[in-house]
Amino acid sequence: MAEDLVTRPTRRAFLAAAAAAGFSSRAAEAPAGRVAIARCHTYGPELHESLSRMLDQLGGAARLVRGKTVTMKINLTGSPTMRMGTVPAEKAQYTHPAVIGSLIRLLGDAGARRIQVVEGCFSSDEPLEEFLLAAGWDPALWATAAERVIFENTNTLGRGKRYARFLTPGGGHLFPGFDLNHAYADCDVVVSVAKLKEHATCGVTLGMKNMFGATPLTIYGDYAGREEPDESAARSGRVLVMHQGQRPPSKSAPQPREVGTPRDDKWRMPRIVADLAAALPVHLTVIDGIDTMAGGEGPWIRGVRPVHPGLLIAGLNPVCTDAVAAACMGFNPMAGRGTAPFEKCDSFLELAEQLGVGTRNLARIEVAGVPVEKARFPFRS
Amino acid sequence: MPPVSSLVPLEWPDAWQEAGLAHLLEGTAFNCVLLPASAPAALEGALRERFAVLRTPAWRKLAEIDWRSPGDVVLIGDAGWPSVGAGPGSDEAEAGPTGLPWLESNGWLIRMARDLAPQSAVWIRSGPPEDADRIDAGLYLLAQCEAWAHGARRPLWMPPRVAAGLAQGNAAAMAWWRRLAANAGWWVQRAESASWPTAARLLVISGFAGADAQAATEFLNLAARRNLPWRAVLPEQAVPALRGMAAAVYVDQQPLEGGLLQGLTEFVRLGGLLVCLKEAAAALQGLSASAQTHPRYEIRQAGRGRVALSREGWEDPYVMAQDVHLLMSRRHDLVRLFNPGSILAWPAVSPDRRRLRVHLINYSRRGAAHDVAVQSWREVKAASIEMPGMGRQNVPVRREAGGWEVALEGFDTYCGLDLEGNWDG
Repeated sequence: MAEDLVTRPTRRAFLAAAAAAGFSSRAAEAPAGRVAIARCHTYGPELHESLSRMLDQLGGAARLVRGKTVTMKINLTGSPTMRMGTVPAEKAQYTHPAVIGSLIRLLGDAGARRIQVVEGCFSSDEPLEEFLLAAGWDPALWATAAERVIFENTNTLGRGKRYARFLTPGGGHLFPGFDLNHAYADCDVVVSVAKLKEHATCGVTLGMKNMFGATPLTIYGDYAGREEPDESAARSGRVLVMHQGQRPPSKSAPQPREVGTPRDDKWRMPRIVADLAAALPVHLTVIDGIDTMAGGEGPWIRGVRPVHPGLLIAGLNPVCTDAVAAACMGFNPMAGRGTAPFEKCDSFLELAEQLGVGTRNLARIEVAGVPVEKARFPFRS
Repeated sequence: MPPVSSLVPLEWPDAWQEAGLAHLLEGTAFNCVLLPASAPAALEGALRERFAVLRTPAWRKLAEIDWRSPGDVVLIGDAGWPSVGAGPGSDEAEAGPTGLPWLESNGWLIRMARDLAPQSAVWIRSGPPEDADRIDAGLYLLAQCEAWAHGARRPLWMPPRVAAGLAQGNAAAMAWWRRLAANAGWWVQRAESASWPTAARLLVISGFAGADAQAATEFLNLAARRNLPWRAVLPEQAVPALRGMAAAVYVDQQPLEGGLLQGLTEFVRLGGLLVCLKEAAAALQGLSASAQTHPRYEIRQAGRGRVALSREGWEDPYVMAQDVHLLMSRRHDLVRLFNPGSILAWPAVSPDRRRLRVHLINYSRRGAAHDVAVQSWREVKAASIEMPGMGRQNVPVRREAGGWEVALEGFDTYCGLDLEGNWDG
């Protein structure tokens, strides 16, 4: 009986589906933003040149960050000591430190007042710098790449006194809002520095899915406080609250509309990613597709393999950027559930488009640099 | 009797009443027999002609050892059987609070004993394992390797079925015996390098006695589980041992005073980190506020260093180990492991400090599920490995973003990785 309650579509779910009809008009009006693609085969000097050129193609970094505080969310999914065979994490599941370092330098040179490098470190409340050291990276190299660079693990309050609330315009698909670490509020520009990968639950993980790691474990983790955030609870994943919906986030945060919703992570996660994209505007997305992995988002996925697309993708609109990136991976960004890469899940591109975040229609997206058809590196070949 | 340090002991099985079975020991490294109380005097006499014989040595619990007069041999009788999870033979790997498999290991207690009793030999033993009826050499090989690698001896104990089988010439028992005897022979050749001291940046200061013993020993255990190496020292011997350390933990409740207070004050002034109980640090002078905040510690600045004062004591040794590691920073880790699984690493340094031996022990007794790699910030000029039964082999060193790295072949029990470079300081 209980199972029926959570899996069978209810009147409320039916009404929600009907409301989705209203989404289609917003999808048609969803904004389009320019995306830059560069071919870049190494993390050596050509990387910095490529990124610099791409930022120019997007209108220039100075226009985006001069005199501003930048929060840069990087992608360090999974344990820092876990690898796909002997392939270092930065050449598989993590954003490469050279990409992050180069971007810090470019934004610093462009006049960024302060750059906050952030991540919700895997199952941990330890300082981000220590997490980086565990991966074998030296955060000092980033700290000196621009004038004021600070680090924060956003799984907890960190340096903040309270969590910042981000409401999803229109109420979103599942989450009407999120409570996040102060770093996402105490800034002018949010940058998502992601990796070009497939994803077991969301089909692909690019700039938007990267932002899922912004949700603090104290509120959205398996051991999150029931009433209020529990600052000692950052020692787990987000399976129970987010993936499965088996328990709510801390009551102090905006509550998901759970009645009648499936407890299926392939239904839930794309909606959470889309809601987050609508609630927390990302101003610049940079996707590291130089060395990465195919078949999944981390070494814990069976059958993954290293690949070398030799690509960098950057854009100002997160949906447009991810749509172009998906196309570069050999997928149709207009695909829906049942079609690669969304064979088993809903498309967060489609869901975010419905929320009016951006268009996934390549015909509406201007691409600078390497054309998509020349950049294509099929991940399923 | 030969010097204790050269003894390779074996526990003479209760069931062996005949000295003739000593022929099994011929040509092996075993040169010392531990006789049970029930052994007849004639047997003892016969064995004494060929071996060093000890009758019923005075094994003690770790907590009962007086570290200020440890004797020639520290005999620790409450060691465990090295294993993953609940115990040897269990198919279920229990997860500890880290989410990592819980490991039953003895490396930490051997290293502690060696540090606190540097002039003494260290021997360990434990009661029979739960699955003592199985004739499976793996557990005993692991137990032997663990003791040897950390510089101790673990008198070889035979499961009763093995002892009986050997007396009857049983093939499976003989195979068991040959593996263990060969292993002992392999390790005897490496006894000198197994005695190298720990390469550590963390000094753990305690009397390791009374009300302080539990927190101090559990900290050592759980720090080792994090692959955080340390040196342990008694308070009265701590000051000279601070040299080269990045951090010191003073575990005891006794307030700091006298020479130790002065030594630690100077250590902090020059840039070291001191972690201690708030009440133990009442006499520390010259502390000022620090911008660094911590949920469980008050951080104070003093000269170029810091003092971290525990607000609520050492309630959770796992958290204590994690906090100390992060307070001092992973930047001081000499090596880090990737895909470690159930492998623990312990670095030891050669007398000329040009070789770092990383003792890698696989508590699962199975090859790792994923490729394991060892990385260091410091330049590694060359690397080699050896495993029981094998000679030393050179292995390639590759440069990665995180430093110099060696990919390891799969191994079941023990791998000694030598990294050549400058391991000073």
